[in-house]
Amino acid sequence: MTCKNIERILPGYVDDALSRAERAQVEEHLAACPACRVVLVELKRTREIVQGIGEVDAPAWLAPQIMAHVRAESDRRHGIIGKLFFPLHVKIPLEALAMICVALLVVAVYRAGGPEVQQLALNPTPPAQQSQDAGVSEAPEHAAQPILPAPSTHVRMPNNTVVQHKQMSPISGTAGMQASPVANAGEKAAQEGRIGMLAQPAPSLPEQQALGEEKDAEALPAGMAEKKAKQEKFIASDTSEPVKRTLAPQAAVSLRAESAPAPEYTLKMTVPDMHAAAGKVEELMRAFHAQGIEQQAKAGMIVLTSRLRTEDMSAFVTRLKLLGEITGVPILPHATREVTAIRVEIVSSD
Amino acid sequence: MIDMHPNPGSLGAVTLAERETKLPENAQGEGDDTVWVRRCQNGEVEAFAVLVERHQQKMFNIAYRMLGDYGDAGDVVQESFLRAYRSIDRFRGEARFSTWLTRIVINQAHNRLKHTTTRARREVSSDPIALVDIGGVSGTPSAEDALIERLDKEASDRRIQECLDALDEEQRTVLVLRDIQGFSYEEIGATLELPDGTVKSRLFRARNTLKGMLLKVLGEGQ
Repeated sequence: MTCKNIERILPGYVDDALSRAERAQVEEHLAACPACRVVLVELKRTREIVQGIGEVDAPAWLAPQIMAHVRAESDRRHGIIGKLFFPLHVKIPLEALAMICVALLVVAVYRAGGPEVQQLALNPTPPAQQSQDAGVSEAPEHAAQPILPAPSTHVRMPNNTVVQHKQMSPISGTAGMQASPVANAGEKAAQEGRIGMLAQPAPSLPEQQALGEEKDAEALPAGMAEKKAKQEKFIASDTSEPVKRTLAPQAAVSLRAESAPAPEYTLKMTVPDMHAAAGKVEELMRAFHAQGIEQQAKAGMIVLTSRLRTEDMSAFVTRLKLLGEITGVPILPHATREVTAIRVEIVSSD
Repeated sequence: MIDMHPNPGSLGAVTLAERETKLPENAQGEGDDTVWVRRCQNGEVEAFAVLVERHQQKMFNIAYRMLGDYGDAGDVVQESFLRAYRSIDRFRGEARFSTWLTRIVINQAHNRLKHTTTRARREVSSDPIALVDIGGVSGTPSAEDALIERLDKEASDRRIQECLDALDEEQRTVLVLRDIQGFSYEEIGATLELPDGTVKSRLFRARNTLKGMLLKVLGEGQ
């Protein structure tokens, strides 16, 4: 073994850190090499010097200051924020998991809420309307109750006497009515998707009967079908007397909004026979489930007023044009208003 | 500026001894650190004070020999104890508490060496040797001899420390732990997480390097 190799491991010989084989090699070399013996002496002396270096005392402030920091750290951990976040490796993953759960819950509620919730989220309504809607939604049982009297037709005579005509429910109201083209207006609107589920106009009578019989036979339980048949029989046999009837559910939406002020739109209709036209217009209004239909004879004209669902206005005016020449066609109101008051003035072309 | 004790060579050791005597008898040994560690893990803050009292002196000396600066050593030890407290919940007792704490101190010392200009600060002087109070030992010839002897020793230590500072960080770490602090090779390997062969090779190189430097600095007469 050369001096260079010995010098590499000689520091280990000083504190007996060599293996037995290395130690034997070193001792064999040292016996024959005076230079390496000198190096060994120097190494031992170096070690003694280093080991003899004085120990430095830690400053007196050290321990108190460490403990002051430690106590402050402990207080911070046990404070409100500390309870929320410490220990970090436990609390932060838990909090992240909770946030993910909340987010998933929100998405699930949003999806399960259907179009009403989504519409609410996308088109927030003004506060006043929100409160009105909230009042209705908090008491859903009222929606099925008649808020307004059943649709009726009044003819206001020139002397301000009012004659009440027969009343009809929206469903049964077409019982005594001819199957006319106007009855299909609501159906067309429904096909165009402009009428909501609760506000769908009733189909014309023949179709309604045909559909109803089929559906009743297929879908309705026996008891319910029988009950419905009895109800229809009762309505059909009782058309001569004014009867107060509970409004059908589909009328509830338009009735609920009656209290809201609605703008009035006036159309002038020129026809050869204004009395015949007045009857047809009235039928048309009924077909669209207009509320508060009133007919008033004035000098040289017959005025019909009613309240229509705003979404039916377009179809109504289209159907009205088939009955006569229409002037003063209004700019149709915005669909956000549920009910619109309409006034049709019928004058003779003669 | 850090407030230092006027005579760090004596009072600190006495204070430590006094405090050690206040500890319960069964808490004197290194193995009983586990008890205090467990108390800390259970939220008993004051149990950590026992661990601080037990280990601050040793940790401070390791840091001081690593850094060569009294103030920096204090800062590093303080930060190391604080880190140890923050992560004491994760201490599972797989190694001794002192080994774990020493590792933290050495890592902090290495970080300090990277990020501070230790030597520049030391030149301005925060070295305790320069602040020793000599007023109480003046007068008689024997006292003067003692003072001269002490100053010589401190000057000698200072030159040794300069040689240590000149060593490579890795070599210095091993040499401080083995030749100054008296760690076994096994303890050094556990502390630094190094294999035995690496520890020895670093130590042997450190001794050879230091031998050459000390011969130059202290001369043949030492």
